[in-house]
Amino acid sequence: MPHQIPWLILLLPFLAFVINSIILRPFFPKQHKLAGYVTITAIGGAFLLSLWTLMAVMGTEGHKLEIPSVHWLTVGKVNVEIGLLVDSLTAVMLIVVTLVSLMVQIYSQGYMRGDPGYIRYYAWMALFTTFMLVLITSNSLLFMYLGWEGVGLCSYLLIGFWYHGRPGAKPGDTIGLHAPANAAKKAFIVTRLGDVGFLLAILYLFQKTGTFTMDGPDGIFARVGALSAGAVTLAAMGIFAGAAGKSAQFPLHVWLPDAMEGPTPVSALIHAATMVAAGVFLVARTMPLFMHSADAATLVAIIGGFTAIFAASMGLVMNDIKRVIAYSTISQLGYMMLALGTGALAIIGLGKTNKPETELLGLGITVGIFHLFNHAFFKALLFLGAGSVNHATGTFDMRLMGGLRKSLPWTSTLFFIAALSLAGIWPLAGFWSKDEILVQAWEHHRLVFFLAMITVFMTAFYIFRAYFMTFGWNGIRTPLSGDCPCRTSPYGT
Amino acid sequence: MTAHAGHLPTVHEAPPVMIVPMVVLAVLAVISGWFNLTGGFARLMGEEGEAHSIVDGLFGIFTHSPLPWISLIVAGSGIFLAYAMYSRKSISAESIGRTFKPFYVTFSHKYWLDELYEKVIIGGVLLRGLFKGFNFFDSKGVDGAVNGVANGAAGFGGWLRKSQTGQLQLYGLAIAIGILAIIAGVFIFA
Amino acid sequence: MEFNFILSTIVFLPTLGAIVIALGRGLSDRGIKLTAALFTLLAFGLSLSAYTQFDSGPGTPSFQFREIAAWLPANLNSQYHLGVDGLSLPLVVLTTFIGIISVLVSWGINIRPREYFAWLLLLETGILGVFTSLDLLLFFLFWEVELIPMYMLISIWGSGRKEYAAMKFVVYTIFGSALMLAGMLTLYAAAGTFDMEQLAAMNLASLNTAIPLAAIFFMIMMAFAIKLPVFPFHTWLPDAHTNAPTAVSVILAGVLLKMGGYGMIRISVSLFPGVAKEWAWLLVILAIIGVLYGAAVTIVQKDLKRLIAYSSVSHMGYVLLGIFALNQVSLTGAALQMVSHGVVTGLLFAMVGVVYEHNHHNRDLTQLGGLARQMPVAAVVFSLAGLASLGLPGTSGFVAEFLVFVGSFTSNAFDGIQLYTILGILGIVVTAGYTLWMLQRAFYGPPLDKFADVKDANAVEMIAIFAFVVAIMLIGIYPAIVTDVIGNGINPVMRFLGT
Repeated sequence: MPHQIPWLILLLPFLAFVINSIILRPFFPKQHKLAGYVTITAIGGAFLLSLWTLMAVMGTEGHKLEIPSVHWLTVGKVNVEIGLLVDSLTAVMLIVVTLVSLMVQIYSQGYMRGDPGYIRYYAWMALFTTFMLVLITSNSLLFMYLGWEGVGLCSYLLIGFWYHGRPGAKPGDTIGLHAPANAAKKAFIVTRLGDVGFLLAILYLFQKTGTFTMDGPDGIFARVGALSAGAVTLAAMGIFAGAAGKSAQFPLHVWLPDAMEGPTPVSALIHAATMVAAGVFLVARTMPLFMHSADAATLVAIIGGFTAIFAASMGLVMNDIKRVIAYSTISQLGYMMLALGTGALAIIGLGKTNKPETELLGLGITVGIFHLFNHAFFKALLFLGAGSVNHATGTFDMRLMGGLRKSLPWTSTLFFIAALSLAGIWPLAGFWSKDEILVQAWEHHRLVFFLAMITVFMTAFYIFRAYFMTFGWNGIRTPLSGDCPCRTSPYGT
Repeated sequence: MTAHAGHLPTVHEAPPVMIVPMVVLAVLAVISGWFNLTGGFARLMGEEGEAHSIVDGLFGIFTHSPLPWISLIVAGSGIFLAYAMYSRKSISAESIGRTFKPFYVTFSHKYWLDELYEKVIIGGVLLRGLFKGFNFFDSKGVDGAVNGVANGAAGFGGWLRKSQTGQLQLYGLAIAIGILAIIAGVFIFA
Repeated sequence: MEFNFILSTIVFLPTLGAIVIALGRGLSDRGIKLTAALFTLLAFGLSLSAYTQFDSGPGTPSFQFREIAAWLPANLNSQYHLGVDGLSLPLVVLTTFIGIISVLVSWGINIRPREYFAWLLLLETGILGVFTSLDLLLFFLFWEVELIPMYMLISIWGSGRKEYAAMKFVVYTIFGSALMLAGMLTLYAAAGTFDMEQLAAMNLASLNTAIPLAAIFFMIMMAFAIKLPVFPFHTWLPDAHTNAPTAVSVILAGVLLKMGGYGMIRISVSLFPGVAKEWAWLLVILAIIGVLYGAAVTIVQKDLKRLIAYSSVSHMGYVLLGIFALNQVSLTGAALQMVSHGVVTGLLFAMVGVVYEHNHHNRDLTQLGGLARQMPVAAVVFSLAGLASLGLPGTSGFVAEFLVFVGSFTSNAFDGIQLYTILGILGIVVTAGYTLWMLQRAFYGPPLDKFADVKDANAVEMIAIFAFVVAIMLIGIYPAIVTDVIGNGINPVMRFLGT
C-alpha cells in the first residue's frame, strides 16, 4: 500500500470541511443538500481507504506500517517531526471512526433536514472527523494534541450547535434558550482541565526524552525503560488526566450528560462512539508507559471501575432517554478503562508474579479496545434510535412516551437489538467483549468482579427500562399530552 | 414532518435515509463481536494464541467456565426487572422509589456534583470569592496606590488640574520640551 | 541592486504621510483616509520585501539592512544607527501590518480626521523607530516620540474618562522613561558609547559604574515592565484600552506593548546577561502572578474592552516567562508570542470595534446577547480570535505558548522554574473560561429585539479582519516562516548568556 494513503484519509474529510465552509456556506447557501453529499462522499472515501489500510496492516509482519514523517518545526533543540503511526490499534480505530461517522452523516440528512444550520452542521462534522483521524493516526504527541484539542473544539461547536436556544424554545424559557451554549462551554472547560494534565505530561516526557515522537528507534516508547519509575508514573498520570477528561471519567464526567444538548447524531458520533473513546485510545496508545508503572495502571483500573458503577447508578433514574444513554456511555467507558488496567489488578489482586510485570500490565489492551470497538456500534445505534424517537415525537422525555413500538416498528426493533447488545446477551457483540472483561476481573480481583457484576445488572436494567418506557408493549402512558414540559421538535415547526 | 407542541401529534416512522444507517449499525451491533470468535482480533492486536473454529468460538465459551452463564443470568434478571416494572407494571416503580428513597434522591441529583462544582467551587470560591477579591484589590489596591501617589504629589496635581482645562496639545509640547531638555543635558555633560 | 535606505524609508514613510495629510489642505476626508492607507500600505509592502530579503541561514550576520550616519557631535559617540535582526524584523512587519489595519478600522472616523490620521501615522513612525534603533539614545528618542500621538488620540478621539486615561498613560510612561534615561546615561558615563552592539560586546560587569549594575538593569527594566505591562505596573492598561478609540486599542495591544518585551530581550537580557540570570527568579514569579492574577481579574470584567485588556496582562505574562526562562526555545516562544498576541489581540480589539460601532455603542457584556444572528461573520471571526487567544492548536497562539512552556519547562535558569511553569500552564484553563464566557455573552443565547437592526461587518472591516485571520492561521499551521527568522535574532542572545 502506498504510504500516502493514511495521509489521504486525513485529507478527504478536511477537504469536505473546506468546501462546505469556504465555498458552499458563503456562496451557495441554497444548495445546502450538497453539503451533506460532500461530507458523505469524503467520509465514504476515507472509510474505503481505511478498509484498505486495515487489510494492509493485517497482512504486514508485526502489524505496523512504515510511514515517513514530515519535518514541521525546529527551534533550538526542539525538533518536531509529524509522523503517522499506523498499527493494528490505529487500523481498528480508523474503521470505527470512519464507519460510524459515515452512518451518522447519512442519518443526519433526515434528522437535520430543514435546519437553517444544515451546511454549518456538515462542515463541522467533517472537521470533527478530520481531527479525530489526526488523533488516532499521529505518532507525535504534539500532532496528537492538535487532534485532541481539535475534537474538543468540534465537540464544543456541535454541542452548542443551537446556540440561540433549543429548537422551539419559547421566549422566557431561560433554561431552554441558554442550555446549549452553557453545555458547550462546560464541556470545553471541564475537558480542558484534564488537558492540562496531558499537556504537562507531553512537556515532562519531552524534558526526559527530548522528543515528542512515540514509536520508533528514538521515540519515547523506546526510552521509557531508561526512565525512573517515579518519572514514568508522573507522565502516565498526566496522560490519564487528559484521558479522564475526554472520556468523562469521575470526577470529570459532569460535562457528558449536559452535552446531550447537541443534535442527537452528534451525540451518537462524538459523545458515544468516537471522541469520548479517545481517552481509552490514548491510554492504549501510551500503554508502554503504563506498562512501566503499576501505580498509574492501578489508578486507571480504580477510576475506570468506580466510574462504571457510579455512572450506571445515575442512569437508573434518569427520565430523559438521551441522558440514560449518556450515563451508560460514561459507565461503559469506565468499563474499558477497567479493562485497560487489568494487568494492575493482577498485580495488586492476587500478587501473581509468574509473568514479568511489564507483560502483565500490557494484558488489558486487547480487551479494552475490543470493547471500544463493539461499544461504538451499538451505542451509536442507541443514540440514533433515540434521535429517531425524537424526530417522530418531538421529545426526549420518556415519561411522555410509551407504546411507540406500534408506530415506530423499525426504530423499536433496532433499539431493541442495540439494547440487547449493550446488556451483553449472547451472541450479540456486547456479550463477547464484556465477558472477556469479566473473566479478567474474576481471575485477578474478586472484589472488582462483584462490582462489575452489579454494573452488569444495572446496565441491563436501565437500558431496558428506557426501552420499555419508550416503546413499551402495552402503551400504558398517555402518549404526548398537550402540556409538554419538555423540549419540542429539534427544529421548530 | 415533526411534532408540533401543544396537540396530539401523529407519530411516523423515520424516513429510509435514517433507517438504513441504523440497520447497518444494528447488523454491526450483532456481529462486530464475532471478530474475535476465531481469536482474530487478539492476534491482530499482537497477542499470541491458537485459532479456534467459528463454531467453537461461538459455543465453546459456555463449556469452559460458569462465568458466561452467571453474567447472562444477571443481565437477564436486570431485563426482567425492567420488564416487570415498566411494561407489565407488576412491580410499581413508585413503591421501589419509596423503598430506596435515599438512593433514588442521590442518583437523580447526580450525587450533587454539579452543584458542588458550579455553585460552590466555581460560583462561590472562585468567581465570588477569589476573582472578585482580586478585582477589588486591583482597582482599590494596586491602582489605588498609584492614584494615591499621583494625588499625593499635590503641587504637581494642582498644576495638572489647572492645565487640564487648557489646550490638550500643551501636554505634547511639554513632553517635547522635556525631551529637548534631556538631550541638551546630554550635550552639556558629554 | 541593494537599496540601502530601506529601514529609514519604512520608518519615515508614515511620517511623510502625516506631513502630506497635515499640509494637504485640499484633501477631502476620503482623500485623507486614502492617503493614510497608501502610505501605510507602502510601508507594509516594503517591510514585507525586507522580510523576504532577510537572510536567516546559519552563519549570516544578525543585523542586516544596517544604516549608520552621524547625527550628533562625534564626541558623544551616538549615531543614527538602524538595523534589524531576526528579533526585530518580525515586529517591524507586525507594526506596518497593524499600521495599515489601524487605518482601515478608522474608516468611520469623522471627527477632525486630518489630525487623527496625522497622529496615527506619526505613532507608527515612533514604534518602528524603537524596533529598528541600534543606538540607545536614538532608541530612547523614538520611545518618547510615541507618547504624544498616543496622548492626543486617546484624549481627543477616545470615550468615557478619556483625559484621565490619556494622562495616566503618559505619567506612567514618563515615569518609566525617566528611570530608563537615567540608567542609560549612567551606563554611558562608564562605557562611553550608546551603541547597543558595542555595549553588548563589552563585559559590562567589569565596568566601573557609578551605581551597581543591577540597579542600572532595574532602572531600564522599569520602563519595559510598565510597557509590557508587568504586575503591579499594569493598571494604566485597562484604562487606556477602555477609553481609546478602536484603532489605538489595536495598535496598543498589537505592537505598543511589544516595545516592552522587545526592550527586555534587546537591552535587559543582551546587555546585562549576568544580572538577568541572577534576577530571573523574581521576574518569572512576577510573570506567573501576571498570568494567573491577570486571568482571574479578566474573568470578572463586564466591559468587553476591559476584559480583553486584562487578558493582555495575562498573555504578556507568558512573554515575560519566556524571556526570563533564558532558554533558546523559551526566548523564541516569547518573541513569537509577541507577534502572535499582536495579531490575535489586535483582531480581538478590531472586532470589539466592529461590535461596538454597529451596536449603538454598546459593549457591556451584561446587555449584549444573541448577536450571532445579526452578525454571523463577526461571530465567526471573533470566535476564531478567541480560540487563538486560548491557545488552540492550529492557531498562532498555541505555537507561541507551547514554545514558551517547552522552553521554560526545560530551562535551568534557576531551581524550581518547572513549578512556576506548571502554575503558568494552569492559566490556560481560566483563559478558556473567560474567552468562552465572553463569546457566549456577546453572540450566543436568544437574539434580542433591541439589536434587530444591527448590521454585520462592512467591506472595509472585512478586509481588515480577514487579513488578521490569515496571519493567525498561517503562523499557527506553519510557524517556521517566523521562527526561522526569530532564531537568527535569538542565537546572539544565547551567546551573550553563555549557553
